[in-house]
Amino acid sequence: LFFCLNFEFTIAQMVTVRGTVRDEASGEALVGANVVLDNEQAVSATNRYGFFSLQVKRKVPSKLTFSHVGHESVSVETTLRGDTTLTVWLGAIPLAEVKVRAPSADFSISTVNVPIAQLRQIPPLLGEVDLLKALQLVPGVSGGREGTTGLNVRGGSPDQNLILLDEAVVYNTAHLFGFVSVFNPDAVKSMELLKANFPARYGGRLSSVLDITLKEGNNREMKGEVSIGPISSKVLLEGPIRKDQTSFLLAGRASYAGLLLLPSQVLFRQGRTEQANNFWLYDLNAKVNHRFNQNHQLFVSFYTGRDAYLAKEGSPQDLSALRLHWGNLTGTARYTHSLSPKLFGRLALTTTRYRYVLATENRVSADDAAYGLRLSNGIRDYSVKYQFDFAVSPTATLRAGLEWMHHRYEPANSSATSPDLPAPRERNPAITAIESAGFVETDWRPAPHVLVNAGARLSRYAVDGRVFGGWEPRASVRYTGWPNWTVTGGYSLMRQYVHLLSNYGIGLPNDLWVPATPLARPQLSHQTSLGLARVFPKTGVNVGLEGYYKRMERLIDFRQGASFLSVLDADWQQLVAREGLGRSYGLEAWARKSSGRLTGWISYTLSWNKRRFDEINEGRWFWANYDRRHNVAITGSYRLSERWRLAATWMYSSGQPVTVPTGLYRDPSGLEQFIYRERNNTRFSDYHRLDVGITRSAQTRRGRSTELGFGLYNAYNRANPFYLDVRRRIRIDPTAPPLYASFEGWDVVQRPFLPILPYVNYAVKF
Amino acid sequence: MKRAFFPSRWLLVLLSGGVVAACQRERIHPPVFEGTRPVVFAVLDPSEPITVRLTRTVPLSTPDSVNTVVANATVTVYENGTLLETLRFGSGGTYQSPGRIRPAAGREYQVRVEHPQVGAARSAPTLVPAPPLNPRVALGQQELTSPGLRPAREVSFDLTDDPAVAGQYYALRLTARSGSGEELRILTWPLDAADDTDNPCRHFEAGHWLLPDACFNAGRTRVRLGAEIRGGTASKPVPVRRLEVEVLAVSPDYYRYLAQRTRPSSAEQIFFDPMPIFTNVSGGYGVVGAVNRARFVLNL
Repeated sequence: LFFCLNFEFTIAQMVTVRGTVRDEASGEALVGANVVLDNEQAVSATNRYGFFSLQVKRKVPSKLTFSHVGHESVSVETTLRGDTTLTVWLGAIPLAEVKVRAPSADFSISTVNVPIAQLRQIPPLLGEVDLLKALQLVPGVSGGREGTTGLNVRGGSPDQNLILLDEAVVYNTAHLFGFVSVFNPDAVKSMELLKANFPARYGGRLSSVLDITLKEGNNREMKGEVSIGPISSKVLLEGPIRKDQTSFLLAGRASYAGLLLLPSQVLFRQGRTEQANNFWLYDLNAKVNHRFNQNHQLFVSFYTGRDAYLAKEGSPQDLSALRLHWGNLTGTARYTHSLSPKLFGRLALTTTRYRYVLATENRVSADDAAYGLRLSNGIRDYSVKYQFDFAVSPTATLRAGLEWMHHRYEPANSSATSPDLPAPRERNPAITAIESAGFVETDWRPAPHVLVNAGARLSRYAVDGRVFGGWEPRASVRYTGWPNWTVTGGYSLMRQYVHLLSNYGIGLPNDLWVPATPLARPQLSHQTSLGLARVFPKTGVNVGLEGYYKRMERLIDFRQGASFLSVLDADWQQLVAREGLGRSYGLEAWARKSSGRLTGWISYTLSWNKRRFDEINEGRWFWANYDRRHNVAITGSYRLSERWRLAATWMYSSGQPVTVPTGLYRDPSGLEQFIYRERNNTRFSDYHRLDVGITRSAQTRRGRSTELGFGLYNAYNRANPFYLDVRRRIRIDPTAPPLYASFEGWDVVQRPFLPILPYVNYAVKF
Repeated sequence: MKRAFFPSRWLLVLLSGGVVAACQRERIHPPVFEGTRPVVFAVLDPSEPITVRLTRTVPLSTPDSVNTVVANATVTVYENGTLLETLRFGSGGTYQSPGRIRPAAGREYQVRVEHPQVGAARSAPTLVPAPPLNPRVALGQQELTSPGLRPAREVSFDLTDDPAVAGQYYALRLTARSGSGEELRILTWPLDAADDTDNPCRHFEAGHWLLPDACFNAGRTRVRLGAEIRGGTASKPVPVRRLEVEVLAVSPDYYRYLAQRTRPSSAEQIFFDPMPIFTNVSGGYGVVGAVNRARFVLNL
């Protein structure tokens, strides 16, 4: 009773300061801005909507300091007599001059929060800045194959990443067969990657959460940007519809590969060539943001993107054609409101659609009907989420929420396009599933230097008359008792109700998204991590070390010999090995410098990653496809002068596991049969690559800023492996009769893909 | 402060490195060869004397010209667990029954091999199936058009599963011949259902239409295939004069081997995880299977 009375008395002596922190020039809400009271007596940070809430003593003079990377700090001295709402405007300063002391609470290896501006300085592939590729350079994250955008986080597969674009789930992040991600960096405001210690508000995936927020749009003045690169051109337009109240953002990107390939189309139609290809992609981001007042805000965000590929062989009369197209569509409407100084709520409605179609067409003569096959895979989601944040006391915040999601999966819908052929049976009918979840979590400071995030999520998944789900406890602790040092540790149990069937997981459309079903039960993981970080305030360098252990259950994988092509005529559930186990563990080190002339980081990951399925490899553990023992990345950007900036990235990773035959025999018909003993019984050679780029910034006579960039991808032309080929070794004897060749056995060859590639790009802002 | 900068020296160094690195385009993995093992193939057929083909595994780098047939091995055949005969190495690089013994339906056979250099191996016991029960084959009169746009006819098979025998597997094989007896390549395709990998009743592999026990449900089943009646090339067509049809009762192991014998092409390898070929030979590779066949000739 005494404790309760004392607590109530303490609360009565406090008042709440709440509000938003915004960029002075654009009016954008700033995410992660620090709010510090009187030499860190109390510390808060703005949430992803730029909102903060802090409790201070009533009628006592207080000094509040607001800071954010890339902005001038602002201090306010005040004596508060009641609850107060503030809007704080921070003015931007050039990134090169930023000297912000990163508080220790900001740096953690588990949570990657690199400013977009810094990620954009990393030399890009063919001039196409890509945020996901930049994330492949942080510790614990590796890419799939050469050049692709898939993320493998701490031994997880690409489907185990919860990728949110303005709260809507994005399933396939691949443009251009995975070489470019679907996220237009010009339109992205912030990006946060969580690899462990997941708060209970996140769920549905095992390995990571990548939370991407689009810009709200400048609500003070009209701004734009146009950029031209070898792959695509981009345009962005943002501005106020009503100043300081309603803003819009429109960003589009399109490739012109189709134009370059147009001659081959014309020649094919004229019968002068027997092959023709076409490829194009586009994406579009649109967002409208409206602030009713300081406490109520609504935005509507929309994304659509599409890739299409066409390959034709033969002639217009005798034609074989392959068509592939895939794309995502997401939409979000979110209403945020502050119900009281201590209560902040948000309601989000989202929809997601992902679909790909593979179609073949064959025609023997111009008079005949074409025949072929069509395979499609897709997902359509609708969701409703409500979450509130409640500042219980100066040292505790409570969050709780509910989510409901309707999924409709089309695992693999195939059909014949000829009346002469019997139609394939419908083997993979659409599956509808309902996913729902509720969570409670708290950020609690039991002592000045201890921050605890603890909570639980209860998720439920109904499919085919069965219900799966259960509790997902989460807890993490952060200790900052020693000056400039942070110790973090945590445990997360995660459940995932969707699977990805992939032969290589490279984001190509040969990946099939399938639902968890009674046969392929939902995935589950337990992850424990422990880390240490140190900040060097004078140099702006952060250094961290973190270890983790993750156990995954109920994984699925294609059975030996099956592939995405097999689902054309088979039930996918019959093609998979089920109830697989995964085990990954490792140590990550990261040193990051984010201020001064030289910025960048060095990361190193030592990791082990294994899988086991009863039906694969005779039930023995084998190295997972994404296992890389060592991963090193060094990336840096150096400001040579006011105009010139040099950037370079070097990355190294141990060879990827791969299965090669160990010998062969000939069957009675003379056909060689390869002998495979262990899965992933050897490795590709090590992967390493250097990218360099140089950028020249300038101002036009009209005051518009321009950027001209050029550089080299794979600067020393390393022949990095992309895929494996088992090919015949042929020897031609010059002394033998013409066309005589002998077969000298078989070679196992690793094929490279991307050689040295120069790029030039140009951007102008107006 | 403005500073002129042109990184010509750096670029030169990088480009030189590129030229050197470009010389190594591909790397070859030396696969670890596990050592020579025996490879045993035998299809026990009551209509033919027992014959076993014994070869050996070789490293991938072995030229095609290297002979892998293993001579001077001890190859024995056991019938229902009792030694039946030791085979003799003969013509064609195979081991043959010196007494020209034919396997009998309903009996179980095992092949054992032993060679000082190649090693020892033994097959799983294989039951020789009973002949197909009252199979009937008929040729349709109506002319069809194949997916390859050639003239074709329907060939129907009436098959009866023996309810007394569990796990019966069948295969159908059609061979087209010209008037001179030359074998012609023709297309066959299912008329009554799709040919696909999870439709076990209409699955074509290794020259056979494969039909496992699940297709019959211990009853009578009709399978309808289309068969082209014109071979040769478009410029030089050759009419089919005779269709030789075999209905085979197949042992389960041999069925499994036939069903997965085809290897993905080189271009397809990027999409496939490798698939070990089924074997029922312990200590080695290969398959010892059994068939019992009924033959029909359809004259066109």
